[in-house]
Amino acid sequence: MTVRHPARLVGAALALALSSAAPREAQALGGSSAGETPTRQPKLTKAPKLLHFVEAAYPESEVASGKTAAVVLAIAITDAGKVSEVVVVTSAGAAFDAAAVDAARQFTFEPAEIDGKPGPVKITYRYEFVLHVEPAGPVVNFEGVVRDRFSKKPLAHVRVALEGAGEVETDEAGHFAFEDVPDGPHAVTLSGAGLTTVSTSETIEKGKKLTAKYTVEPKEDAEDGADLEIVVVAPKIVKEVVSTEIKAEEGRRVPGTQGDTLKVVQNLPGVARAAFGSGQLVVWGAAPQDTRVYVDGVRIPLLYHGGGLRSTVHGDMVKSIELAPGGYGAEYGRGLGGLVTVQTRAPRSDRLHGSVSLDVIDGAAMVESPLGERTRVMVTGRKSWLDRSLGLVTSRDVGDFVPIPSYWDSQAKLVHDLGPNESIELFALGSSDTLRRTVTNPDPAQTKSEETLTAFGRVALTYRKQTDDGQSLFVTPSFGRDHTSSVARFGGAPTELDSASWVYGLRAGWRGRLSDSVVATAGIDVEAATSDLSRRGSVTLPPREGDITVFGQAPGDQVNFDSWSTTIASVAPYGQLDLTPFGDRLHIVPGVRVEPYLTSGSRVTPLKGETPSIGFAREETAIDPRLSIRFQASERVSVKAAFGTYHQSPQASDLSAVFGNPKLGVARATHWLGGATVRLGETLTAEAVGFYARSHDLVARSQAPTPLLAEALVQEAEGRAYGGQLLLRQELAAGFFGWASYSLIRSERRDHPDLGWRLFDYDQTHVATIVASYELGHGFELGTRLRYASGYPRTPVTGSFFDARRDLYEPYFGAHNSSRVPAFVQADVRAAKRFTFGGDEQPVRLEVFVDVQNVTNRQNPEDVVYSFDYKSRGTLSGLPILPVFGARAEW
Amino acid sequence: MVTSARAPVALGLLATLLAACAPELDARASRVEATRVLAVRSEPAEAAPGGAVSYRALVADPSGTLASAAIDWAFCTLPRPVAEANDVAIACFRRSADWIVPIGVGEGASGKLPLNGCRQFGPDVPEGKPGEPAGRPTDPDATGGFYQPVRLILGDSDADYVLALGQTRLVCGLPGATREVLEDFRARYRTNENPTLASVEVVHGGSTDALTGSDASAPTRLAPGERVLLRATWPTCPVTATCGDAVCSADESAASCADDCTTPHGCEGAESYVAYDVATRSVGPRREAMRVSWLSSAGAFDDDRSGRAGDDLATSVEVAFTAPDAPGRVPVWVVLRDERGGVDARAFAIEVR
Repeated sequence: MTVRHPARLVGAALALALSSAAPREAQALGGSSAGETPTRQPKLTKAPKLLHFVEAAYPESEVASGKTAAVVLAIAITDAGKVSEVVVVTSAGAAFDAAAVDAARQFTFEPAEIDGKPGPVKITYRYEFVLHVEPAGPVVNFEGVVRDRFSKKPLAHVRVALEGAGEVETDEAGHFAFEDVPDGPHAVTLSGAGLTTVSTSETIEKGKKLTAKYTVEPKEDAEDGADLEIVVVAPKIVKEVVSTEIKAEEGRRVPGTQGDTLKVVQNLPGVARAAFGSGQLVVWGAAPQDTRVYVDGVRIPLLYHGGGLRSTVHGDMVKSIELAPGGYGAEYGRGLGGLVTVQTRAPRSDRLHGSVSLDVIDGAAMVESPLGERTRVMVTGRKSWLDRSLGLVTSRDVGDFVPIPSYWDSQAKLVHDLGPNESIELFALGSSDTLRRTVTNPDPAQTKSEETLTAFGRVALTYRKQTDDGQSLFVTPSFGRDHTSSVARFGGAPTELDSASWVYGLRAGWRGRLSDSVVATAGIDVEAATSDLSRRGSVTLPPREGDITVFGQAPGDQVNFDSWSTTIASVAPYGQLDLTPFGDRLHIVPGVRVEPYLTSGSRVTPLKGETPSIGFAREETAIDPRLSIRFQASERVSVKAAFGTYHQSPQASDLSAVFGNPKLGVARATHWLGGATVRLGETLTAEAVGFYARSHDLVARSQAPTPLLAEALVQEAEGRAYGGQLLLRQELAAGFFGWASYSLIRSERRDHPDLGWRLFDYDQTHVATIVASYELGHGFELGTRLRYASGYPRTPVTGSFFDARRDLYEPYFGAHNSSRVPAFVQADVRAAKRFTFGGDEQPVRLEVFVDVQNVTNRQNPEDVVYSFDYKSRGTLSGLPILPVFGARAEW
Repeated sequence: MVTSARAPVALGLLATLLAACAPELDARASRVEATRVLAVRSEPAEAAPGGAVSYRALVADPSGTLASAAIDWAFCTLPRPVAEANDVAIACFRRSADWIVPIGVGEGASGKLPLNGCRQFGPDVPEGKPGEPAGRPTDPDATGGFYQPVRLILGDSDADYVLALGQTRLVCGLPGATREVLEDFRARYRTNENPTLASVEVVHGGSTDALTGSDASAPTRLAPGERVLLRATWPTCPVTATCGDAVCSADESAASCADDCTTPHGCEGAESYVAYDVATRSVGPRREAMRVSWLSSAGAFDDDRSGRAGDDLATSVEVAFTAPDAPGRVPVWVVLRDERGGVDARAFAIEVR
């Protein structure tokens, strides 16, 4: 048997009353008397605060009685917060009085203030004695700490709800505790006012105390600590078995990104280095168009502006970006390759904020503000000026020789809170790239001109609701417009392509717990696009993957034309279960996605004479099973595996009866992957993943000398990619973050069943990246990025012939993709200095940085070029040393 | 591919700023440093399948024109697969195959165009296997032309040979046109005539002289390193139909202008003609662009080629030439091409001393 004073004793005792509030003790006790000259009454401006409480021992002599007692004390506190006198006002008996007085003498207080200055006061204090007999075994059998994910600081006021045991808030030390939690599994929900509620489960074993560590990720705007998103780390709810998520703040600081958060994707494991000026995403050996990009669940056609200079979404809008290179769950589909999901953040609600960023490439601005109590809005905009700034330092229009795009993008987000965990969001984004250049030549057949436009826009409305029991629901209807236009001339041969599409989408999902060991996800993913296209030019332009050609080779001069329209739609209901039969240690996540694809077009054969066009429509239903398994083998080691099938509809531009094939159907792929993660420390993890991906029914050019009518493209190709990746990652802690990754990937294609396997055009067998950034203190920051990547495959030229009509040499080739561009090795450095102006209330932060690419000025080969007759060759090298200076101010 | 002296200079400037750097490849298209085929002329320049044609090649090496090159000539009847980016299937350069039709060995050759030209290289449905659906016709070039390839192999050794492709423009129908458009086209289209180099002149020291032929005993003299202008001129062709101008234009016929069109003949300069536009599916007027290739075995031209676009009515082009520092006889070749595959080539000589 033990005697214990409950914690509520203190709370009850602090029902204090001020007996006086005067600078002098006499006045404090007596007050002003009648007849005296009226003077201003001293005013208590701050009550004393108990800083150090000493628990009084329950008198042994009274234990037998077991009674509850209360002693009322008068405590005199000095202007230093010390207890100068304790007087019993209401006695509960000598033993209780003595114990209470003895304890109270040891109290210390934060001094009271009178008229704004520390002063002595006297208070009354009720001290209650309650005898409790504790049961056997630990009372607290579930406790834990909630910390900031990055700073590792404890977080207070996070609500932790335990199914069947109530709810507590974390204290100042981030600590929470539950007592007498019944044995068995319990749902744990971490939430807070305005927070995203996240649930997990814990299993309480009889007679044992469970200690958990949770880390939470404050949103960037949560300066007041009131706006948090919770990320449960142990046990963690994992969306995809293999994925890399980068926080916006980290992404902005990676060298080589020039402060662009989303450009960090190019440095993640499994991603090939984009060729100079391309910005293409090649993930796990998949074609760039096979990796789909979503912003808040809405697909966008391009993650980067032309040339890969910038992303199409402003970094200030981004909360995080996640790359799942393969094996992802049933929520997403329509792509044979990887998945990039960008999450935007909610506008801050406290006051007006903004930012301005400037460098030699472009300028950008962001402003966000609350609109009333429950509504917030954020607007961003960016405009490039590289095409003009280069003109200031060159005497010639450099765009004549290298395409320098002119671009802009803008986003807006409005969030209206309907309730504590219920909101509606309106999100809109737009992006446009234009490029114009003309390379004149005394020979009209060598004159080149190019004018391209790539633009898209999206508007999405999202309703979200999360219930206290952890269920979540969202509905996102969206629509948008894609427009690409390209007009190029090489001599007299035109190449024109125009594609305008209306894009419609609906994504809705529900997630909730069905039982202690089953969490279900269900939803529907609808996407439809109606496109009008026209194309004029050579059937071999633009080049496709698998074309045997070399840099600088003159395009063909044959010309044809087609205009056609298509509708490509699919409705995909999906479902997924998260089964935890043995608690959080094992997650088995089966899922399925059933997706009927509807493809229709205006023309199944080319126009001929007066024959009217005959359209086509067909439906193919794809059933895509997905399965992922994650097993926490020990506290530090988890293993994982995944399998999934994926389908992808043909591209509208390939459905031309003249240039493509209207009969193209959906292509399919299967992903297998497995790996392990070892947590080496609180913020240091190592991960190894192996994968194999097989794809079928890929589109390639017909290999036939005389392809059938309307079959310039056929679906006879197949692909395979296999390999692995290693990642050692230090998350942001103590000012340092970084990662080292190595990917060993082989990607191959077979264009026809009778042909052998060849290297995929985008294969990069070895890709190694080291990224590190460290805060030096005093606002200085230094980072570096080191990269090594195999060169892209190329088909060697073994000879040439002279085309006498066109007066040019044309090459003939050796084995397809049997050589490579030499390897790429580059080091980049980023240095930044941050300044803070203004007060703590509304500080203005300024960051100036220099992002130096290729600090060693290495002549990195980007491609192989040949002389006019293909008898000699050299390499086209990429960027020389290039410092990009920039500044960013935010408030 | 560096084909002009200007591009590397500009790229070099750019390299210090932003852009990728192109290597300096010394080879210039205008410099003859090995045995090369410089031009292949088909006579006539345009013919129907089955028509008789003769070919002549201009072959040169650094010493000058090779007068009696042993060229293996053959028609190729194999269409180009859409998976290949060249003008012709690479299999056409086999010495023998089912699709190779030899027509002779020598500096020139003659024969009859294969009868299946419009099927294999034109708008007609290509021959296929019995029971197979229709194949994909070949697309025309920007002038509406289809071409019968003739392949040239110079040299007997498999390790040391020169390959070239000659082409004859084919008289075929139109791809996907209506009957009315096809009839209109056939009534107004005039087959291509090979162009003619009217003159090649050298401008130096305020005087203009005709460049002397390669067989001249007293060739044009230049000082070592001297910089001059070379000017190539071709005949003026009528832009509008004028009966009696000796050219049967698109808007003339034997009925409206018997003098010009009883035996239709074209012009040896930049001809006007009608072409089928695959986008509008209509027939419209065009005028040939003209190109001049400048070649020599020593010295340097500022540009490898010069030309006039179809809407440029000028009938001459100029290029600056810098004589070599070393004295000696420098062979110079000038090749004139029209946009429809017609060609004329002449050899000249310059004495540097």
